[in-house]
Amino acid sequence: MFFKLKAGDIAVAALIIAIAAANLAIFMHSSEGSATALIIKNGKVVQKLKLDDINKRIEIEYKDKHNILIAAEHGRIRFEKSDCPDQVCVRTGWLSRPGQTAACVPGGIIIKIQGEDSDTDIILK
Amino acid sequence: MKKVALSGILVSMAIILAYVERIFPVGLIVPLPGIKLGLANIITLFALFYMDVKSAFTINILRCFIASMLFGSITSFIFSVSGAVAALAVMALLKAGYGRYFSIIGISIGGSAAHNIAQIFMASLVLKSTAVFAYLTVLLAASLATGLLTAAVCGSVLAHIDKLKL
Repeated sequence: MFFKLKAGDIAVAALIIAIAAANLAIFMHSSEGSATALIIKNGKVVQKLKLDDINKRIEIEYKDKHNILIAAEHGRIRFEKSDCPDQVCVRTGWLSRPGQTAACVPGGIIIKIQGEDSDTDIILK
Repeated sequence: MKKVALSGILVSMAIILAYVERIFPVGLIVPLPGIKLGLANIITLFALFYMDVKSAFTINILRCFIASMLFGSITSFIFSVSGAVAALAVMALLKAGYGRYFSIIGISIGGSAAHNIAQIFMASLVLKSTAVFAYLTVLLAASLATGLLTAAVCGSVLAHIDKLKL
């Protein structure tokens, strides 16, 4: 008698699945749209780019001690070219996820990807 | 007096179940963050059916308090109480339609899902970040299974007690 399935049971299960699916959709959407690239020159943020809003390839050149070319595409950004000696920045490659960083120490430029939330994603105990 | 004695037995059983769950965390078998069987929910569901909402509420709060004192902390108390109260609220609501609209299965999975949603809300408040909602989808999917398990155990016990005419 306790287990005889009723229409409401199906409705409850369907509602739970719907909430789970909606949550998944919202979360995937928000984590997609959250990545912002900060270009930091000599400790100051000189450029902010919302990576997911970029449709066409953007190239930014910095001519200072070194000639540095930064390229951004939809969802990602990298040091394209640099005439600095060590090439660490170029070899770091594409950045797309919050928390990723590439730095050109000789040129004094850092690219940092920031998420919507603070630096802490989650703490589990 | 009979109610007090039964409440006491149920509280102690719930604490033992919480302890069993602590020694054998299901997370070892199914490695999902935050997953729990929610065995103590069997007691809440039983109290709701065999006694009444008020008793179920008292038993719920007491078992959260004692279990947290024994094996947990203030934080774990806040988490378990918020989950337990939300679960009971939803189950009591659905219980009003028991027999007509819902069986024990719907009531149980509803409570199990409410438990998870409340705990994720608490976690996002504590961490001041909505990032924890990333876990909700998986936890809700798991709540269908754990809710079914709770309903199966509790329903069997209730059916046996019916036969015994206690």
